[in-house]
Amino acid sequence: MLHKIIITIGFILFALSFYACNKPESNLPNAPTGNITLYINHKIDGKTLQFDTMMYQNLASNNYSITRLNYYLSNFELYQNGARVYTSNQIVYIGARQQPVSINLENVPIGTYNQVSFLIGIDATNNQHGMIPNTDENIGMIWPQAMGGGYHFLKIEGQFLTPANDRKGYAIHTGLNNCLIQHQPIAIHLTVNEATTSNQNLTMNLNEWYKNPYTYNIYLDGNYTMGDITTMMLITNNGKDVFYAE
Amino acid sequence: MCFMLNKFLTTAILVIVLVTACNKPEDTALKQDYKPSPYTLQVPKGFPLYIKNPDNPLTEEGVALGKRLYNEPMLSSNGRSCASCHVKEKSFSLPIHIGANGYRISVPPHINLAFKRHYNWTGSEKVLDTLCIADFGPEFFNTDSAELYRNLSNNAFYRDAFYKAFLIDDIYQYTFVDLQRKIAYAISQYMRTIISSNAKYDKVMKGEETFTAQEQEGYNIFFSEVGDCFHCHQPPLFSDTEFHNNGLNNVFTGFDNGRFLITLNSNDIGKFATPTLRNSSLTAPYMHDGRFATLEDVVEFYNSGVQPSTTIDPIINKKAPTYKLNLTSQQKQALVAFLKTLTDNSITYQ
Repeated sequence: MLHKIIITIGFILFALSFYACNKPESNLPNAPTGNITLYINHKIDGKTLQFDTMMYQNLASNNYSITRLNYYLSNFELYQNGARVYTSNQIVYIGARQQPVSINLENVPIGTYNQVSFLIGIDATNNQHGMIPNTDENIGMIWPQAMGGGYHFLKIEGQFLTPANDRKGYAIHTGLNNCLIQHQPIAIHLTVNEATTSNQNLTMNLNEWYKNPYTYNIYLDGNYTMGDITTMMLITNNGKDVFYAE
Repeated sequence: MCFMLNKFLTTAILVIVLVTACNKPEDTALKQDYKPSPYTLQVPKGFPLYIKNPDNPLTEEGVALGKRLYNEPMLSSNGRSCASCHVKEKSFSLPIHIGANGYRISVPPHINLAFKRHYNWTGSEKVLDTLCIADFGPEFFNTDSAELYRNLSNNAFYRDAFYKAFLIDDIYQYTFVDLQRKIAYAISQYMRTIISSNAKYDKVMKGEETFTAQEQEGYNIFFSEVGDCFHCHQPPLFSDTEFHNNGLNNVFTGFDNGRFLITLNSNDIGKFATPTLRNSSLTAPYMHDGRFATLEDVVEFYNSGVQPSTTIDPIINKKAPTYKLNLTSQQKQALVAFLKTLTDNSITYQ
């Protein structure tokens, strides 16, 4: 009998200890926060992207146009003096034809931030069939299960001119976990005040996909990449610095 | 005598007042309390969220009214209903309609429309709820408005159904424009319930069935760069819901101009909405103008018949200048075999 009483009291104390440990934490006054809206722009060496115009040239001297630009950004991180202060696990689909493209980071601790980074693509946990809810916008991003499953991380499509001056289509696509890009931290100077929203412009320079470290020639290296991990990795390795702050 | 008469009249008036007082509010209260019952659309796993219109929420009564109206020749002066051109056995489509402007049009199927954000080959309509309003015109229904009012108001089912769906007591209180809108709202509610998601392909994906060796080969071609069908025909809808110039023409006149007819943007010349491939074995002939009679013809077109033009889609144009997939005869047959696994003989609808 005594044994039972001791076990019961022990159980109650055990349960109370959880209550005691958890309750005060949830009652702690929230640290003051604000919000950040990231506005995503797309340019080619400083010129605002215009779709379907053969007006761009990359480092390999390929003349090209852009018909479609779709990709995922995820796992946003904000830094103060090199220390990560804020993380958002949201996964954002971006269709560049929809303007403006904006991403809201909520409940960001107040303070001044001097770096932002993110993934281009989707982490391995979420890059699996059925993990991202389909919408009528993102439905074209599915990476077929027959080719490994998950999602396209990046789609850049358009036309380019061959050395014979013929127009030819290209489709620079990446996906699969090996092609996940951790974008290098981007220098910013952004102050977040309590209960307000601060804005930050981030711009993708599309020509960066074709240089640094590898000068990618659409004609010679491949005008479509899906299914060829070697060419996808060339593009992936070029992608760590495609964004900059404005 | 006079006193007696006054007493009688007073009593009679009191009784009338009491009866009126007792009945009228009760009747009004009943109507005031009535609300249509919300309808829960069963969205298949993996499908996108369906596109809702807050001005026209799905209700049991709205869907039921819409189903009746979809099949109702009374809407027209020529015996036509929606179902005349959207035949259930053909996945709610029709082989060919010759438009008033002389265009030859393969009638798109009415399946999985709840998940789309534009309609018709050129995306001429953006809202499903008002999609069928144009059908009241001379090209399709040529509706006689007076006859429609008369027929609907004389019909006990419709008097009851319009009230239950939209709280409409008397359709004569609505202008013809508003009446058409309410009819279109009801029909769109029904159309949202027409869902195809139970083809052999779906059962294989759920592990309930297996492909034959030929179907599996076709699946592998479809979902790889060999055939590269999947970039535009993405599951689960087997459409990316975008517009593409898939290389049918190198000269564009009339309906072949496609999306350009709506946007007047020269970059849209020759572009058409990607059709769903679900039930494609039931929706011959193919392409916007029904130029291909069979699925074999379609596969052969992509294999060897693509025509270059300035607006051709990059995915199609990446094979320039030959535009050939170089599929073998066996591969082409396998691709068709796979396409037939998208046939759903048990389309669900309310």
